[in-house]
Amino acid sequence: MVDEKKLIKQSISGDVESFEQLIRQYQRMAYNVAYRMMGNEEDAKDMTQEALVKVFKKLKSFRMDASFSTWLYRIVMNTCKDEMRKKKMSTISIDQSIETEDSQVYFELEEKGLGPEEKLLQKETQNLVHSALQEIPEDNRMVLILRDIKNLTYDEISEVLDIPKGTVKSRINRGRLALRDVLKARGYNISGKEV
Amino acid sequence: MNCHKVEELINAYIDDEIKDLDDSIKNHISQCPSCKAIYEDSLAVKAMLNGLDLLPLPDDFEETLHDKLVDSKVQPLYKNKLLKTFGYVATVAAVGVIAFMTGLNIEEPIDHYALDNDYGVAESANRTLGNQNSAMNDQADVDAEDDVESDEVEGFVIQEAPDMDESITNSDVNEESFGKMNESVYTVTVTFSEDLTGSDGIYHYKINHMDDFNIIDSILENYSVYNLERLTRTQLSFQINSDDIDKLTTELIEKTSIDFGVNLEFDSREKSELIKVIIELKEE
Repeated sequence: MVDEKKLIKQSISGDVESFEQLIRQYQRMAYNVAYRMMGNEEDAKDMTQEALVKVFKKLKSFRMDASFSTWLYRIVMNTCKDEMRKKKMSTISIDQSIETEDSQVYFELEEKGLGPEEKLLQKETQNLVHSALQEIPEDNRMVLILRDIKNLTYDEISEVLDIPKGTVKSRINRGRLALRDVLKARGYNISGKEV
Repeated sequence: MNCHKVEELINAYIDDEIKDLDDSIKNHISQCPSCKAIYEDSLAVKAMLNGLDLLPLPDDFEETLHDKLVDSKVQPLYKNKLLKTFGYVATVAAVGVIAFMTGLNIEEPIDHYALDNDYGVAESANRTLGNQNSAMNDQADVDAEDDVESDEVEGFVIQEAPDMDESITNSDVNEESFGKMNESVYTVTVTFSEDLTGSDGIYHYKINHMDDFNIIDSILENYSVYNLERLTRTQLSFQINSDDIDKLTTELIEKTSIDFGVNLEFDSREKSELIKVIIELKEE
C-alpha cells in the first residue's frame, strides 16, 4: 500500500494522479454519505466532487498528524450542509414528503443472494428508510449517517462535525427516535412488518 | 437508575459507547416496558440504517472529477495575483506611503493580471513572499491589531498595512500552523460605506476554516473591483458597483456559515455608484 502521507505531499505539489490515488478508498463512502444527506444521486455526485476538489485545494492546510479521512468527511459534511442551506434559502417551501422514485435509488441487491420477492421487499424498505431519513432534522440526520452508515464512533463523529461528544450523543438519541416516528407515521412497523 | 437517565444512555449503550453502566441499564430495560420499547425501537432503527446498501459511484464520477481537479489547479493562479496585489500595497506602505483611499473616486477596475507586468515592486514583494498559499492561509493567525495604526476616514477605520518584512516572516509557516487554522472559526465583518438598509451598514457573517479566504477570492473573481487595498493582514478594502451589492451579499450568505446575517435588498438606484466595502476576518 502506498504511503498516505507521501500521496498527500505529492498531491500538495499539484499532482492530480496522486490525489486520485489518495482518495480512491474514500470516494465511494463519501458519495454515499452525501447521498444520504442530500437525498438524491445528482446532488450527491455534485457535492462529493465539490468537496473532493476542496480537499485537493486545501490539502496544504491539512495537519499531517491528524486523520485524513476525518478531515475529508468533515469537508464532505460541510459542503452538503452549505448546499442544503443554500437550497433552503432559495426555496420558499418544498414538499418535504419526498417519494423516492425507483430510478433514483440503486441498491446492490445482487450481492445479497436474495430471491426476487425478498429483493423487492428489501428495496422497498430501503427506499422507505432513505426517504424517512430526509425528513428528520439535518443535524440529527448527519450524526445518524456517520454513526450507522459510516460506522464512526462518537469520538470520531465529534471530530468530523466539530461538536462535543455530548451533543453527538443527544443528537443520536433524538435522531433515532425521530426516524422511528417518521417510519411509524408512514405505517411501517419498526419490527419489520407492514401494518 | 431512572427512566430519564436510561433514555439518555440507551443509544450509547446500543452503540457500545459505554461499558461501566451496562449492567444497570440492562437491568432497568428488562424491568421497564417503556424503556424496553425505546431500546427495541432504537435497535431496529439502527439495524435499518445499517442495512442500507452502498451505492456504486456513478459511471462517469472519476472522469468528471478528474476534469474538475485539473481545472482547480488553474484557480490558485488568481490567489497569487491577489497576493501580489497585497504585496504591492503593503510594500508601498512599508516605504512610507500610507495607503488609504479618500472619497469614492472611480478609477479603472484593477486588472489583477496586469499587476504582474506593470509593477516591478509587486514582483519583488511576491518573490520575497515565498509560499503564496502559506501567506494566504496564515492571514488570520496574526493579530493585525498589534502592528497597525488606525485612522478614521469617512467613518471607516483605515489601517496602515503592516510592515511587510514581518508579514513575510509570519507567512513562512509550516504545516503545524496550518493545523491551527483547522480548529478556527472566523467572523467576517462586512462594512458598507453608507447606510444602505436603514441599519448601521455593518454585517456579520461567520465562516469556518474551510471557507477562509475563498470568499474573498470569489468576490474578487466575479466582480469588477476598484481600489482594492489590503488594510491589514486580515482586512481588505475595495469598492464595487452598487448594482452588484445584492449579488455580493447573497453570495456571502451562500458561502459562509452564517449564524446571523442579512440578505440585503437594496432599493434599485437611479444610477450606479461605487460602494466601499471593508471585509475583515476575525478569529473567534
